[in-house]
Amino acid sequence: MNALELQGLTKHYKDFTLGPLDLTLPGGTICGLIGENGAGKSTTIRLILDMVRRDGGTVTILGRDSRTASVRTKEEIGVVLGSEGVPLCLNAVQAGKVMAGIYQNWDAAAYAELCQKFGLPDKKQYKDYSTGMKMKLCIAVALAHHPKLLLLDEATNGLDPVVRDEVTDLLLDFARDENHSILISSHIVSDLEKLCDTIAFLHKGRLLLCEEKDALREEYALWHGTAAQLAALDAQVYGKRVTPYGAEALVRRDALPAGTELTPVSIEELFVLMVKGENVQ
Amino acid sequence: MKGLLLKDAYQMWSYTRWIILVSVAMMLMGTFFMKEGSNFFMLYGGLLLGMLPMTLLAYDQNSRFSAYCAALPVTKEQIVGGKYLIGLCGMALAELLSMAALAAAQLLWGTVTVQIIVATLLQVAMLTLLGNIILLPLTYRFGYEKAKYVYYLCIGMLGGLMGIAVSSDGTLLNSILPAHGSLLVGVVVLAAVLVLYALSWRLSVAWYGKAEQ
Repeated sequence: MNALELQGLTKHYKDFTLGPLDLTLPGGTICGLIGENGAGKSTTIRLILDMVRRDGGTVTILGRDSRTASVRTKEEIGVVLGSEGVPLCLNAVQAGKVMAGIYQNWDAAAYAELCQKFGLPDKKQYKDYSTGMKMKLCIAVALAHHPKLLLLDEATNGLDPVVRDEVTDLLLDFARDENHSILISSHIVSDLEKLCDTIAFLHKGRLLLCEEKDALREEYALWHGTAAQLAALDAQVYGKRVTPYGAEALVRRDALPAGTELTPVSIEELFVLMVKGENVQ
Repeated sequence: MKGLLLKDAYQMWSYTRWIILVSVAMMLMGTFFMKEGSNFFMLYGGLLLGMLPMTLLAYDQNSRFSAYCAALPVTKEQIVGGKYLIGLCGMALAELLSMAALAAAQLLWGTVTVQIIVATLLQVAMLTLLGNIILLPLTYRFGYEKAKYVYYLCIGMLGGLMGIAVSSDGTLLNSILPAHGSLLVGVVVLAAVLVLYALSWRLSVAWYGKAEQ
């Protein structure tokens, strides 16, 4: 069973339209939703959770339509909405007690272990936490009731590299179970590059592509040459960067003759070139 | 639901202790003013305790807990119902404090009649619940920032009413509130207020469901 299926998901605002989005998240996989600020990543996650009313399309979450998702379905979802949501006056221990009264599957021991692992102080109030500590508490809350699906909105923002690495390992561990899936949004592409099986590029509310990370690396590559050579290039260019020192272009490997010299492209370069193309300096 | 109430209990302890303390102080003042038969400060204490749910909701909206709640395994009825339950607890506390203040006044001054007891308890119940009946649905619909202006308007109107009542030697206030009505009238009024309270809860649930988080 797919953990999540979006079909034609659409939301209209006065000055912004999201979608239509089609996306499938199979069990045991991690999908990264990449997009610049304002691309619609948070709106997508809020639409999935039915926190925002959709204007069209369907959202099926763990086999049920999100609008009719019962309390039981929500028991199986762990959510991080940035660092928002935890009442500011609570400390880590109190937040655990509150969540124990909300989630039937709450695992107090797992929560305590995560808090200890993240070095969260017991008595400090949430409002006095640093951004990274707030994020760590939100992640601990999202994981401590053993969910099947994690929906993480900008969950690695504000974390230092060491903790980010720990969180990445934790999420990889989580997704090792084939019944567990993660949809994680971020504009920090390098985080998702390490973590995800599938990458979805969201740009100005539209899904530019949604493919397996390894397939993307195999399909796309960077071509290097001069500006004149670039102008004469006989292949579709998905994004280019021209500088006084030369030019590079994002191309599909199969669109160029065999033997053409190409270099591998990172997901970050792929995303930046696709989104900003020749404006990138 | 248990978790939501526990969260509100923590928030009450952190943010609204002063409301409870001031209410107790008001009730103490009410004991002394009962020497002249005035229950104004007891009503004022009740009014303050009636503010608890809206104050807690304002903190929820400020921390975005209201939005986060939509992702938690709790129903809209439970999310909204928790605040209404706290409103009822506020009323119960106000009633207990009023009873204690009236008992103390009777011991000190001997001025408390059965009629004053019934009238005071009914008035306190109405004042603690009426604010929530009007303001909680508005807060769920428009957010605390907008709803608070309606709250200020209500307080202003109440203050104006009190002023007119005082200038009319208390007769106007007594004619509006069931101070001199029969016990039956009082019970009917209280029952009507409780029905309105339940309807207000339903309206809040509907408006919370419609609001985008």
